[in-house]
Amino acid sequence: MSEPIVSLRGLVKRYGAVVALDGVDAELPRGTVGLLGPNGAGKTTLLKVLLGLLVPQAGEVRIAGADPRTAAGRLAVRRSVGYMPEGDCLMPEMTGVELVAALGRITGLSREDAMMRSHEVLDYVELEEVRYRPLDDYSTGMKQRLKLAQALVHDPDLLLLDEPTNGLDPRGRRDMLDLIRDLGEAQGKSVVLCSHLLHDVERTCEFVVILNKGRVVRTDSIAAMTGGDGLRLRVAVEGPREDFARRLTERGYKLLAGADGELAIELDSRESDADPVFEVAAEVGAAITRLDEVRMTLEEVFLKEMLPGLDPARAEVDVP
Amino acid sequence: MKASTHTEIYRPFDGEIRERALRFVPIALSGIRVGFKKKLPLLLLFGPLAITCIVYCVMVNVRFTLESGQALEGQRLQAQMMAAAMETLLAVSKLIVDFMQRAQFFALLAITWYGGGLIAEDRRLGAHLLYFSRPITRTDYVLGKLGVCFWFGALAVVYPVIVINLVAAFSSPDWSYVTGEGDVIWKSILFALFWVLAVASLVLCVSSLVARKTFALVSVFGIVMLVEAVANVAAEITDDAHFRIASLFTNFAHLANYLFDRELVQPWNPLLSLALIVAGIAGALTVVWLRVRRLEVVG
Repeated sequence: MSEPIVSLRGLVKRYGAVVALDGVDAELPRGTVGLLGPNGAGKTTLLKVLLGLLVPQAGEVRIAGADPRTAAGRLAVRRSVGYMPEGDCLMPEMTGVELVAALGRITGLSREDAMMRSHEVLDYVELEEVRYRPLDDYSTGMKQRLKLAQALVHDPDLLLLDEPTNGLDPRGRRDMLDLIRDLGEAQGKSVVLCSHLLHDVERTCEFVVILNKGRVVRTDSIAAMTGGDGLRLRVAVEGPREDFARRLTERGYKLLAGADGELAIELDSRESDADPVFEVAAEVGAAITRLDEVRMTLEEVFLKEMLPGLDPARAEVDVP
Repeated sequence: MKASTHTEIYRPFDGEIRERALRFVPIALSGIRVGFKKKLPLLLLFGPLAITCIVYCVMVNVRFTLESGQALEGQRLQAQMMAAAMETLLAVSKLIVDFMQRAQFFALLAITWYGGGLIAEDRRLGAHLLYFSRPITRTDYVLGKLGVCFWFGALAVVYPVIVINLVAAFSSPDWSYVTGEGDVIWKSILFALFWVLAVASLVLCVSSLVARKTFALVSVFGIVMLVEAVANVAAEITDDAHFRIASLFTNFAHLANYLFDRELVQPWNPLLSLALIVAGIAGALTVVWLRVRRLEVVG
């Protein structure tokens, strides 16, 4: 794996008695990373720590090679990072193009570059027709896109996006997610997408960090997470179904709840194909009429991590 | 390289991101630009100041016209009548101080109008996150916001003082104003700058403490007027002028009298007034600094 773009070790952040981050350890690779967690999990706090807007009480943090806990590091981080805050943080008396250009100037762009970039990024997020309107007149969707545009004005390598689809209608949400995916996949930007919406993360990210109560409960690629601990199969058999199921259990494989008379089977994590299932079917004289690989959804993974006792996909069934 | 739902492409930036020394300048400039957007407040706040400035420029011009004896026969009588009517105002330093005293209400209103919401509204809207996700320090932020207050304060007080001085310089025969009363030029400009700094610091301090621009307007005027009223009433009731030391404007008037060699009407040392104003500025900026620290980074 290439050098992580964000590295966190034992990060602790408290607000009085409330522990927002409780010893967070994680390494976020380059690419699109989703920060998932329920409200109050510590996602926004973590983003603010990354930007140096909050100073942790303990732990180490490095982002894009700089330490945001120091004054010099903060400036270095902010030069190479684009941040899209969660709230409605826009100055209402400005127009879109003025706001983005002014923030470009503050970042260090020349007057000409700032104005040119302002137009370019507003075109990119499809605000070209409203760029001269006062921000008072912007809809929620426009404001969200404008916030993305201001984060892009200095063309940063890393984008920190805090709930970018908040308040958007389905079409606006789809457009925003397409933009984020484009930035990650086609433009080669690293993106940390902070969201409590599993679908948003599943649709745009390659890697996920799940936070709960200030702790990292899981970090992995989405492919690895949804692949489960072992190979999962959904099988329909004809013939001695009970013998088939019993023999599978004897071999140590788990039988999970399946629909419409099918069996859901979780093989050992060392198994990479369905050969053992065919072997068992042959032994008992059953015919496999259907066999599909089953992947967990991110929602199932999330629920499993949040509520370990509640895992509908993993509910074991009695051997018939 | 297109997002599937979008027609525009992303263009990478191949320019340069510079590390500026004066990082507060873009913050100040964007604030000033926003301030100039609404024309009615500009007209209402600066219109009376502009008219007052023009009147004082005419008075200065009359003084030097009379002094040089260049007035035409037909105008001489009018000029002499005006001069006689305003006999006590003929010294330029007197005129400048008088102008500032007449302009101070509007100047205070202008600075508060344009500066009252600078920090309060940023905090209310969360706009400080946009600033502090950029490579700036809290010093840059404070200086940028102070720059906005200072610009509008200067527009109300400093520029008119400069204009009056210019009119005096160009009207005086053989540049006698520059050669004879040259110290009035720099003293009056410095005094006006100091006045603006003090009021701008107060306004920014209040802005950092309240939640909205309107609250800042009410608070600044509440503080200033209440202190003025209490100081003057206490001085009248007790017949002790020392109570007026609490008044910002009295201290400035006292300082102006000292600076321009006029009769001192207050019983305390003018340097005490200077020290009090400087302490007030330092205190106000310290409050701003502490409040902004909480916006930029929370330990």
